[in-house]
Amino acid sequence: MLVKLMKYEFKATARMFLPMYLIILALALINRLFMELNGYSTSFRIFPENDMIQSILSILTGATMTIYILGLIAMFFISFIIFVYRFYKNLMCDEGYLMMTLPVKPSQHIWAKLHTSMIWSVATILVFILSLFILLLNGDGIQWMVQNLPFLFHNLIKGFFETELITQFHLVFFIIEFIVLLVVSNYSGIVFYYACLALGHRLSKKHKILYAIGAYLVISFVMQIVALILMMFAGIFLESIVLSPTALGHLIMIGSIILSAAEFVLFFFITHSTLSKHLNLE
Amino acid sequence: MENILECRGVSKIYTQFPALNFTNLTVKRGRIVGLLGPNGSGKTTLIKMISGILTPSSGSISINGIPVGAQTKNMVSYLPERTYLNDWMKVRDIIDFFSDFYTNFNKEKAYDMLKRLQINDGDRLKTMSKGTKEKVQLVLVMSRETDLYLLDEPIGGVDPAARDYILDTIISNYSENSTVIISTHLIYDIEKILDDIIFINQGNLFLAASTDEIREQHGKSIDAYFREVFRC
Repeated sequence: MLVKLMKYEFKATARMFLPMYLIILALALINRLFMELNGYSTSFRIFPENDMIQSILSILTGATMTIYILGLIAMFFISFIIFVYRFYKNLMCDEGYLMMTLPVKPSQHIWAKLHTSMIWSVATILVFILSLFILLLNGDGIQWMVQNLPFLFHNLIKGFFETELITQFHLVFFIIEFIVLLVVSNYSGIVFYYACLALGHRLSKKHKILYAIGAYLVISFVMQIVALILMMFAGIFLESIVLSPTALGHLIMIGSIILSAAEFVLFFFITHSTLSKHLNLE
Repeated sequence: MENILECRGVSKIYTQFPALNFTNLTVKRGRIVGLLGPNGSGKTTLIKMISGILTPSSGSISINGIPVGAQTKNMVSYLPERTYLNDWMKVRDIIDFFSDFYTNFNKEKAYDMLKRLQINDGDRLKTMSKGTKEKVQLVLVMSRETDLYLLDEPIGGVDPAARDYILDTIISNYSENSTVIISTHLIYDIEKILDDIIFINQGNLFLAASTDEIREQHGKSIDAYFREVFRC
């Protein structure tokens, strides 16, 4: 069931993501074209340097570059809006009549949307990197990579295995902690918005979005205070104990993971309880 | 199991406003039941609770003896009053969607009905009129071979010819073991196909009896009796 739900999630959201990705990549391509006309990879310049028409070209190049950068920022922003909007529209508006009568548990609905959002997040980052490649990568760059990357990589691996076993252990652990934190905080970040929508839905019949925004502001504020208090306690606690930097680093990482996980559980619970017991579709 | 639906002490209270306050209600298999009552009497609230998209404030509802949940949603086919289909899909997409999630969805039956209604499976839901969308929804609901059909105002916004077609579809497509609960105002049109009647008024169960009993006891049509009972 979860896989089926995710399949339809992708179908529904691809219509929004794929055009956006294509636009970004097209913008990168257009920018690259302008850059080449200005002699980026070769020394070919289509117009002589001091010609007035070159000034126009330079202005155009600058303008398209600005549009591309704005586009990148917009892409990340819009991706996020799509996740949140999709949850609201599909489960809490008219389509909710269709979705919530499926022989599916509410938790499966939430997980399907969370996993799909996660995958699109990764895709957005990949598109961002791809657009950079389109923009910047040329023969010189490739040559540099081919010449230097294997060497750098080899040195990195060699350096790793030359350190003490315990250092290797810590390094690997830090990398794992970092990835886990990234994933958990991504999930908890998204489910936080779901919970705000759920609370808005529950608290008001006519002003659901307004209450959702209110919930967002209140919860954000409370989370910040809680984080502050936790940091104060952590500071006091750490003053009375002597810790090596590595141990401290691990403590912070694991502490952050636990905090994110706790947030995730709380917001998942709020969302789930609203969908399963307090749903009131109009 | 003879009783397809059992409601026990079910109520729904919206911040001190009781929308529904039932005692007990049982509905048997193989009956076409009319859920009748004035606007705001609680018909849709009851139907939503049976279909699982609204939770009772108290009491329990069970279908085939199983409490409302993911399992009973497979046994219930619900047609809401509003259109709930996602606009971006084509007709064949939503049919694939239904047959993907519901094991008891009969694709051939659905395509057959659509053909008779002259609805193309490649049409986008977005481009359809409200009436056509409602017909598509009805086709989807009636193509499921389930124990309980819940139809909320199925003939409300439709022209008289389509009304007849819908009533015929309802009768010819439900199996003997299934029950159909139809909530409507248009009692006159629907009276002829109803086996049982449930009257609701202001959230309270007023009457639950068979159509014949009511007609004999009061010597008039259900439509006339309704007007008498709920006179403004």
